[in-house]
Amino acid sequence: MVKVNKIRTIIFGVLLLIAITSNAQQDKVTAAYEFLQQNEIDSAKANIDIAVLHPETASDPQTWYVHGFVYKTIFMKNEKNNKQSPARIVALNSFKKANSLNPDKEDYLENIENIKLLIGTLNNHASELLTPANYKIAIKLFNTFQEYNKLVDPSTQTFQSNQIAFDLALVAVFNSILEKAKTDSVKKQKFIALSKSIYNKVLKLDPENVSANYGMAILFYNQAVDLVLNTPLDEGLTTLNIMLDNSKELSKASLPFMQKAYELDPSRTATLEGLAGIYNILHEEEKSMEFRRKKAELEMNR
Amino acid sequence: MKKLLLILTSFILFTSSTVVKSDLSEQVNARIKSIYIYNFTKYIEWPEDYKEGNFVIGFIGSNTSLLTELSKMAGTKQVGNQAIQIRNISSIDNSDKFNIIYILTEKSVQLSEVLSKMKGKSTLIITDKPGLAKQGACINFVVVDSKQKIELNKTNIAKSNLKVANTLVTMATEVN
Repeated sequence: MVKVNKIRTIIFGVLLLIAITSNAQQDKVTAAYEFLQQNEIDSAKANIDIAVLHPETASDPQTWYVHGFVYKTIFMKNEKNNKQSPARIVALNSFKKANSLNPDKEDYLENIENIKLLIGTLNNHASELLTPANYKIAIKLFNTFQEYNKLVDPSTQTFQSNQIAFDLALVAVFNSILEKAKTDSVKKQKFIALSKSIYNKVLKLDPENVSANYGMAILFYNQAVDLVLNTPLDEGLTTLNIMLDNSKELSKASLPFMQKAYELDPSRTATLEGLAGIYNILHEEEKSMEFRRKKAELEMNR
Repeated sequence: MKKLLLILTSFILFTSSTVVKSDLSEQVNARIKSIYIYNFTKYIEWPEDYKEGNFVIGFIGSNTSLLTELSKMAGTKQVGNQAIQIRNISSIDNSDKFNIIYILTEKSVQLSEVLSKMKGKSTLIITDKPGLAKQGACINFVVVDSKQKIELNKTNIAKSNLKVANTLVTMATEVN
């Protein structure tokens, strides 16, 4: 009898311990929220960081909602100007996690709004970093933006429009690098290749994109021009012949893109000028003159 | 997100540096011709009395890009010990002395006059219109398969008391 009582006591003690521990974890979530209300961010963070790791609370969407909120607050108060803010990424991940654990919960839309606000800042920072020195960080930030924007606006069209706009802005950065590269042929080759791959990516999403067609045409065309203009006067005739072959191939590669750009927007004088130049290099004088005339007519009528 | 598109589109419009170099297509063609002409000075031999003073290249016609490229050549290269002099001319006199005369396409009609006035002189006459290598020109620029090439008439070169290296002959289409 004494033995049975002892066993009962032990079981009761264990159950009580489990109950207290569970409650303790839930208390941490509550405490974090209360600390947040009192603007005691460090304490809020300390409590919620424990809660998200504990098995009792880790699968509760509320835990992740509070976690997101704490880190969103950290970002807004302390890291708003930090373009690579770690708190922002943690907050995004937490709001996403909260929704994934229970999409029917009432906080779902609020989480989406929080995600929307945070990725808005992400996108702004990505745009600001579209410079020759920082474009790699811009790409990283934009990719993160795209990843979370799918939760806000799942439309494929939105995703693609944003991607195309960003990619074309990125190529503009590459072009500014190319303009300054001058005699650095290794750098030029690298950024020409990068630009072509971006244009190809855009054209795959949108074959009728005027900027991408025109941009791709110009890349090839400028390569053809640079090849000749960088050939020294005393280049031998055999090498000259090879150079002429390569220049011709580059000009021919340019042509379909420039023609497409023209079909899509016949009123663009830069395209007319491009076509005139390509045909001139290919020694098709009549066609070259035709596009020069069209360009002159357009300019006169403006 | 519409704001994103607006920002990025504005960025593209105002910062894009996809500058078309179509205005350089004339320079490209002029450069190619200049390289050819410079090679002619290497593979054609003039008599001793044409190796004194300046090496004079005259061209008949109007082409700003060609003048620029030939001037660059004159500024940086020599033919043997001779400085290169470029002259853009509208016509020539019997008394004129040129190592090379290049008649541009639009002035091709002047070929017979040039041939007449340069008869007996060691002047390499270059033209730029189909068929002219058979009508007295030594070398004629032609377009073959969208590329700049040359036709060469050994007989006309020999008539001008010039010698042409086989290297140049093999790179050209020989015309009789």
